[in-house]
Amino acid sequence: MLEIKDLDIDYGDKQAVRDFDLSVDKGDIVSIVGESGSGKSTVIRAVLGLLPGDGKVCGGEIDYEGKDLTTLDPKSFGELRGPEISMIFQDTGAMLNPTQSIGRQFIEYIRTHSDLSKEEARQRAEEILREMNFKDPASIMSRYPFELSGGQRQRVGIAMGMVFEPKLLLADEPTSALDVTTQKQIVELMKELRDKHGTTIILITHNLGLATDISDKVVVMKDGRIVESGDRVQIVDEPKSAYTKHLLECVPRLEGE
Amino acid sequence: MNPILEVRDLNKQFIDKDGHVVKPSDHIDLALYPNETLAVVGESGCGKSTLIKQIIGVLKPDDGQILYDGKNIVDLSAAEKKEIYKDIQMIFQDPNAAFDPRMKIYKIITEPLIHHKKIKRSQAKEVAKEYLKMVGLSESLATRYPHQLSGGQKQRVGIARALTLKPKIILCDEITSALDVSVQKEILDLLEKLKKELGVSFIFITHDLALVEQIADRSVVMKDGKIVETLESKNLKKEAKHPYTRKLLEAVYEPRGAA
Ligand SMILES: Nc1ncnc2c1ncn2[C@@H]1O[C@H](COP(=O)(O)OP(=O)(O)OP(=O)(O)O)[C@@H](O)[C@H]1O
Ligand SMILES: Nc1ncnc2c1ncn2[C@@H]1O[C@H](COP(=O)(O)OP(=O)(O)OP(=O)(O)O)[C@@H](O)[C@H]1O
Ligand SMILES: [Mg+2]
Ligand SMILES: [Mg+2]
Repeated sequence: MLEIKDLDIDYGDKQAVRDFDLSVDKGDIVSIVGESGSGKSTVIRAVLGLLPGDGKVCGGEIDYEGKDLTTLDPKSFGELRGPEISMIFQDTGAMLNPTQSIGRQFIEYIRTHSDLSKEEARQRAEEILREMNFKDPASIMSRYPFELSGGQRQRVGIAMGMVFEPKLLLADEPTSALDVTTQKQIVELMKELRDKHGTTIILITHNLGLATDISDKVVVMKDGRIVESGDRVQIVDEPKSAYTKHLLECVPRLEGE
Repeated sequence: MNPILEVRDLNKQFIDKDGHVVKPSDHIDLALYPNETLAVVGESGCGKSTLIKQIIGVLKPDDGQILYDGKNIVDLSAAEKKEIYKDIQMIFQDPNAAFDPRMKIYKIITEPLIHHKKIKRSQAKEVAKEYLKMVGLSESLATRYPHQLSGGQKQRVGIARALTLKPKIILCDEITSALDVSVQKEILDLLEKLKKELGVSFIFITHDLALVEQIADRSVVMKDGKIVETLESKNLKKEAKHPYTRKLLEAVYEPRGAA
């Protein structure tokens, strides 16, 4: 479904990503883990055609269902984003408009990509917020972004990313600000989305436990390149690169009973 | 030993425009001892950030006391505040909200030093580079803007800034959740060193319970604005009694291969 070949990305004259290859089948869940600053967010932003600043793809292809996304025109991209390919940003705070209530933004987002009425959109938004472990979605809808906790803002971002049951979901550290029980609930929802709707998911995370629990394939990055990729047995039981081994050693683990 | 910081019967509520009431601090009592790391864990939205924002003076409590070295710091004059808050620094959960987007990284890092007239403006770039190195970042980031950094790089800039005034207490709000585990370990080693060498005390908010076991001397578990359990050991599974803490412990993901 998605085939990334030899992708190179620069910011200005600075290299960010080199020789990135990834092939993802429909319904797969792929995790990208690795060093801070290694280019994880850059790769998935490129898939969505949303590289910030002077970021540009300077080599390679991103083939999505037969279309090369690196050369796609802005109008066709606009049609893909949202219901078809959607993204949960690492930093939801920066994505939300600080001067509008959550409800207003969410309803507007739903209505630009569907023909639901205002009331239907509100119901849909509240319903999915409830699934995100909000006990009182109406209260969340009435608030402004600064009136939410870090994890609450992150859950609003996840709700917006999942509301259309997209074909491809790009999730950039979606659960990093969540307590472990809420995280688990949301991870279960992502699995359900895949199982019920065949959604393909690319997940960036620093949580190797989460990555190995949920993914069909794990990709490890360092310095703009893939150092290793494989299924969870290959990554956890038989890591080949010294960097993967080092990462696994650095994971804090709970003492036993 | 006397606590270096004490929170007594702290209360804080928010009422939104539709009249919903949220009570993120509901009769909170807490003590932090010199040279101690106190971890705070709990559900998203339970009031962890609100608690330490009141300690740092960003939010005003509805009632209750916050004692630093035995002195109530809730109602201080601006001048007194400036003195006290040299000793207490906070690293924010969301670096974007804490940084001025139009300021270059080296200015962000050295802002507290300039504000307290510890260094001259002309020294800022050089000093900032030292701190960048300390948190494992390249000196070349000094002249960039925040939006040109990755999530974890921004997080480390926030850490660097909080260290500049050599505070006695550092309030850490999920400071490692945006970092890979290897960089996380480097940062925690750095904080451990400050603790050993300078006697710094930490309040450390995190969702990572295994990390709590590793670094905390004590930990408190919060739910709905209240502290529901205080833990002292390095084996949470053995010690935890409260059903909510037990539920948290069961939800932890650990790397697993074939097994
Ligand atoms: N707008 C930008 N302008 C210039 N350089 C940038 C920009 N955005 C990111 N970079 C640089 O590109 C590199 C890759 O950044 P990216 O955000 O993709 O990293 P990441 O793997 O997502 O890291 P993290 O885990 O810390 O979020 C970093 O060195 C970063 O400093
Ligand atoms: N300015 C505000 N106005 C109204 N409600 C607020 C405001 N700031 C925080 N709240 C609410 O207070 C509660 C506690 O928020 P706080 O940020 O302290 O949570 P937290 O424990 O840090 O959560 P997280 O782990 O998600 O960061 C939440 O329900 C939040 O929505
Ligand atoms: Mg990133
Ligand atoms: Mg918080």
